[in-house]
Amino acid sequence: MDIREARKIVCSSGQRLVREGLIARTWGNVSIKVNDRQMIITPSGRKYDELTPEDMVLVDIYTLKYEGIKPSSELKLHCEIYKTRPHIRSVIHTHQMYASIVAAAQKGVEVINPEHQRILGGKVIRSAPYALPNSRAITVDTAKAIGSSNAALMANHGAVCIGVDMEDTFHVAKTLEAACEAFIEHKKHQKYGS
Amino acid sequence: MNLQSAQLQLLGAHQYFETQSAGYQTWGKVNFLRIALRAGKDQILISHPDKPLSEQTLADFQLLPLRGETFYQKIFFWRSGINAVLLTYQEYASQVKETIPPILDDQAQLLGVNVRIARKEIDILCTLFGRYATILGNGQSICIGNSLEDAFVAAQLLEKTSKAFIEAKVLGGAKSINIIEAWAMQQFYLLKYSKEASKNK
Repeated sequence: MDIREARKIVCSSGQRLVREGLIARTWGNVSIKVNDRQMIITPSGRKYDELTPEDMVLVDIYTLKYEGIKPSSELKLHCEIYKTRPHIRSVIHTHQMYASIVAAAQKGVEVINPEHQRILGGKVIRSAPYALPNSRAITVDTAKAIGSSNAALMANHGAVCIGVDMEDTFHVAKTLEAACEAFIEHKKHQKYGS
Repeated sequence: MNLQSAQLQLLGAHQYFETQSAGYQTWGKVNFLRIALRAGKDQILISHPDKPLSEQTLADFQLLPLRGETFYQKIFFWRSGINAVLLTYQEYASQVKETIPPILDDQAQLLGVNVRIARKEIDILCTLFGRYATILGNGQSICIGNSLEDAFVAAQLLEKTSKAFIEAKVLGGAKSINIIEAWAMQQFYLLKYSKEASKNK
């Protein structure tokens, strides 16, 4: 993918994350893999509505080297996913509401709806155990929790969603939110009845 | 912030909340009851207690000295970095009757190591110590920040945290992060991450 085009997509996707309530403020991050060695990712700590495509950061997936503005501190997780799942071209990390509820309980999600299972790539979306943000543990454990599916929860933190392009990844994130809400409702029904 | 800027911010607060709230729709409903802003060195400007924010004009705002008996004055006096105090009534926070431990990273970073309940008005300063939100015994909440925007986000995050705390009960309950790690995350946020918006350019 053309680097200039990738910068535009990543920048507008960051703003879309805020608009759609998947993150607040400067949290979360978005990336696109532009070739076998490089990705474009959102910068660290900046407000999405103030960003321009030129603020997006080009990072070497294997060495983590970049030039200019500091990339998101979660870049190691994005790189790990691109290395372990070569066909994946886009990653977003969100703090979305219903995924956060399940993540706060440190549980995986039983995906009830067959269509959700198809989009998320599994009947269960696992949760990586709690680890400090940006630590080696959170990177390795989250990539492991994704496994062959398209998403994972990060305990007490949020979620990470992956896809073959940005639109696909947003679709995964929205589906994960719907699946988490359905899972919670299912548990309520089991506990309290209808 | 001088008196004139505080007046302008207070006049525009309702519209600001309306436009910013769109992205937080799944987090629960937050009603803003009263706003107080630091206005210069020795005063605070506070909105009318009963009139809806959208209907208030300059004539409705009250100017108070920094020193005084209201909890607004006490917060501004003892927390020199705080420039905005919001009194809110929130859908989920109003249902919380016990301390919320650190259950989410963003909660720990922005609100502090836990969210405590102030059973009486006299407890508010204490339950807010080192923290940016507290829930009152009557179901209302107080959210504070270095700016109106910070206090607004604190209110939204309190609602997200409260919703997660309540809804996770059906999943066996929210699990707490180690409190030392939660404290370290808040310090990292205050001392480093929150400054990157201006530094990382």
